[in-house]
Amino acid sequence: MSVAIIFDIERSAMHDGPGIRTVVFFKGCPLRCRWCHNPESWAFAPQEMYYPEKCIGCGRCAEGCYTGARQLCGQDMTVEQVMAPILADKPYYGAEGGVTLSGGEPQCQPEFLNALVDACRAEGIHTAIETSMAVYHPEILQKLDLIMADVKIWDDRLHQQYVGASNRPIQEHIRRADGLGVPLLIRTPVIPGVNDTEAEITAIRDFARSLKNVVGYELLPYHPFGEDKWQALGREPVRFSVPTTEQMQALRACAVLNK
Amino acid sequence: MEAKKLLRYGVEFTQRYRTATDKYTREAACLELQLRHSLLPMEPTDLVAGRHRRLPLGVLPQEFWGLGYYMDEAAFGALTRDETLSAPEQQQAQELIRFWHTENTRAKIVAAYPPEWTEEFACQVPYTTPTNGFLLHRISGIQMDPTRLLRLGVGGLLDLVREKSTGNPAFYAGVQQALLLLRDVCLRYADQAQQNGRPDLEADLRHIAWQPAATFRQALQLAYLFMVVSGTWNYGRMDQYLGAYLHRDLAAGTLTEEEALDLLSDLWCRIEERNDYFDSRVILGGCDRPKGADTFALLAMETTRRRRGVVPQLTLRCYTGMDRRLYDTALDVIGEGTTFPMLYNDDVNIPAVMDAFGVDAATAQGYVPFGCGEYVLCNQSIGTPSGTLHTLHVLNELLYGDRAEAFLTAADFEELYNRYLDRIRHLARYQAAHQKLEYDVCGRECAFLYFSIAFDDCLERGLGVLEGGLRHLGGTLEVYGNINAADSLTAIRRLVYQQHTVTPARMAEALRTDFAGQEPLRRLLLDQPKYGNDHPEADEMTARLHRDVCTIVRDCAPQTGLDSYLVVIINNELNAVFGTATGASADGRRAGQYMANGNNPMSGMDQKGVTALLNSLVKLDTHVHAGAVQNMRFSREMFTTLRPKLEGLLNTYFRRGGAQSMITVLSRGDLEAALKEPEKYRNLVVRVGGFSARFVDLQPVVQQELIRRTLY
Repeated sequence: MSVAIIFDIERSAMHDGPGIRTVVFFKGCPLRCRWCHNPESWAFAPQEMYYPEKCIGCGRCAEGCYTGARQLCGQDMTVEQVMAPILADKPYYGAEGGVTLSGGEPQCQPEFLNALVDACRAEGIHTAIETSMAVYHPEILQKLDLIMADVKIWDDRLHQQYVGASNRPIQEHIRRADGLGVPLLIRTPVIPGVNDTEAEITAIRDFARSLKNVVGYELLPYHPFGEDKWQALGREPVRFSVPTTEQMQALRACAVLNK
Repeated sequence: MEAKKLLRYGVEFTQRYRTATDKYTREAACLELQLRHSLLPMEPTDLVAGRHRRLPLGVLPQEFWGLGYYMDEAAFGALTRDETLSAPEQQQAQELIRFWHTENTRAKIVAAYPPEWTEEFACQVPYTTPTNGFLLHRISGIQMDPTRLLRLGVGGLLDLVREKSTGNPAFYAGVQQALLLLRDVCLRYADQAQQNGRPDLEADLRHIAWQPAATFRQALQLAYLFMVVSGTWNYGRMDQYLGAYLHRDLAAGTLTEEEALDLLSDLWCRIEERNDYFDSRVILGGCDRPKGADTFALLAMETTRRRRGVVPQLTLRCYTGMDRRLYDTALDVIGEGTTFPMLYNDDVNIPAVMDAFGVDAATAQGYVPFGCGEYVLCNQSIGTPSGTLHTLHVLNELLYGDRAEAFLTAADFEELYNRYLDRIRHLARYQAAHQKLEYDVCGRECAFLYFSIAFDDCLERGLGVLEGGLRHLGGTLEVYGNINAADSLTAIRRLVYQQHTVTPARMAEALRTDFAGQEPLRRLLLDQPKYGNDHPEADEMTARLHRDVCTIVRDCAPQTGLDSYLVVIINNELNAVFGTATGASADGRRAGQYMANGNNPMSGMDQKGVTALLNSLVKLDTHVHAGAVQNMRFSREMFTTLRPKLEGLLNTYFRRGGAQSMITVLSRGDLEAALKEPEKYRNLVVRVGGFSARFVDLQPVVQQELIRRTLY
């Protein structure tokens, strides 16, 4: 039986693809983005997260935490277990909605991913993936209805500095995925002080324009909502400023796909 | 009313009451005096006549101070100390109080109670008394159809009554007097309109004093005056009885839509001035309406959008095949944060009403919510909630209260559960009997003449609504705390009977002491599955308890002599208020904390997303009760940029069996900000339970409960 380590399943997601969606968060990621708002998605094994403000000092940690101050993040799940909430949400998907495979990096657990995609397809459910494209499994991607791929930073030196890997293989994977015939949505998180320049965005836009199956280019403003999770994992969060509305407007003007 | 005037009114009202020969003419005589004082003069700018105030002594189906013949003793008590009155006058006021203290209808109902009822239930406020429930006194939720009056006019109806004057002449004599009173009310207002220099209005009022309504203005005016003099606080299926008049006038060009909107706006004003935000329902929709009804419905929603008041409680009955414009407009108006209209799903509710009330499809087509959401059959049934049952308190008594041996000695969960149901059955029978007693005493004392004019069958049978005239005599029981009780049972079944991690004695002690030194246990209880998350175990327990309680109550009807007796889960704000007097519960709720509202999950406990919430909601059987409140709260974004997704959600919910939806639209942080700076949030309207309110006007315990509800 195929099993994956999953750290969350979000029901009725409104912002992770078209329509109403169920988002499956795969645990484990090869990248280390400094602004990551899901740092608990990095490791491929379950991890304890500790929220001191929830601790009531009852001293009964051994019985399992009563207050949620200590939480185990990530559990092995079968396809059947993941499909249960998906099937419960299915009536709400309508024509557009469906399942979004997210993470972490879903392509890092290809056997399970493949089985889950097959199970969704058998139910006639729209499938989308949110992927870094740091790994590439065309045999799975080709079955999907939508690929949402990040191009985080165009300058490779900066990419290596802030993401922990070169962007060359990522770009290569996206180019090859473009040949699969699946609609591609390119996305960039806008991180002030890192990639919030017209040069960066324009370069990525031009890359997106060179693809034939691209359906959009989206900019996602950085938000600091993952900070408490960094702390819960015992790490000091790296802080960035939040882009202003005006800044986002200016950058979005550079990100227009149609020439 | 100033002191001397009030005393004179009281003396004369009492005199009329004492000298009448039968209850019908007595009521007509009392009403004549009462209406002269309760109906206020028109203001020069009024488009609709019928300003109205409450009086501290009178005869009405439902008032703050009672039902039938009622008195506000405090108001007359003030007269006994009033320095503008002479000593004999003060003495006179004292005598009035003494007389009405035992002669008011509520006192007569209470005097007939067997002692065991008051041992089990509380009878009067304050609502912060720990109790199994309250015995209430009111004939509320009258939903009438004035079509016959509009069509025949006062004169035509009088002719009809005269033809029928056989069998019970006193009844028909009372009815005739009531109709003549209505005529006089119209004529008095016509005189005022003349004085105010309003010839058009004067002509309309003179016309409807006797003739059938010929125009939209006349129909609206006559219907409203009839509703006000009748003493109802609900206004029926307005698009059904006014739609055709509107259609005709618009088509003939004698009325423009803007003029109609002005009229409705003034009517909404009159309704607001009556100041009853628990009632004041105006019903729109349903597939059996005449041409023009849709136009009326659209204008009514536009009026609400412009006025942004907390009443009327605009209600839209939706059905497959309804004009799409109605639904779109409804969502537009809701999206602006008005909380109206409330959406009811006829595709679900009509079959449900057929089963619950035991009526055919054509009859069920006339179902209407009143008040906070209880269903009645428009113009055919009364179903006032005359009692409350606190299922969580009843459970707590078995777990750690006076009947705690039930928990300590139960061999397994099923035994505990059955003991709980036995207790509910015992209490429900008392409440059902109480309902019938209330109707019987009221029927002996009052004819409620205007109801008897409108309701089907009364004129034909020659009987008042509560003495056999009514086609369907229903009753309802308000249930509180059922969701917390179900979540408590889920936790008990798991921890005590399946996992054996908590003993009954330890659980009882922790609950009795409000978890003193037992915070980890409370957290463990909070961590158990909760209704509202599409969790099979929690939802199954909730659905089971819901069905069992509703069925137990429904089955009380035959032995009581009621045509139906049904649970309503309408929870105005009392889920919060009753919560303050309810001990800790096994769902992890602290003593004194609010309880869940209606069929909603405990506030803040629905944590798996809106699809999970909606899935949970549709698991509760709708065919066994007479209305349950489902409040939902959405962010503004859902009604703007995400509107197609919102529509998808609601459509699926309704298709899968969602009975209704009451929607509040907010921005994140609105409520918290309103607590800090209430003056800036005067216009923030929220749906509480079965009513809407300005958030800043609510009691703190209710505000706290609302803040904890999940915003999707």
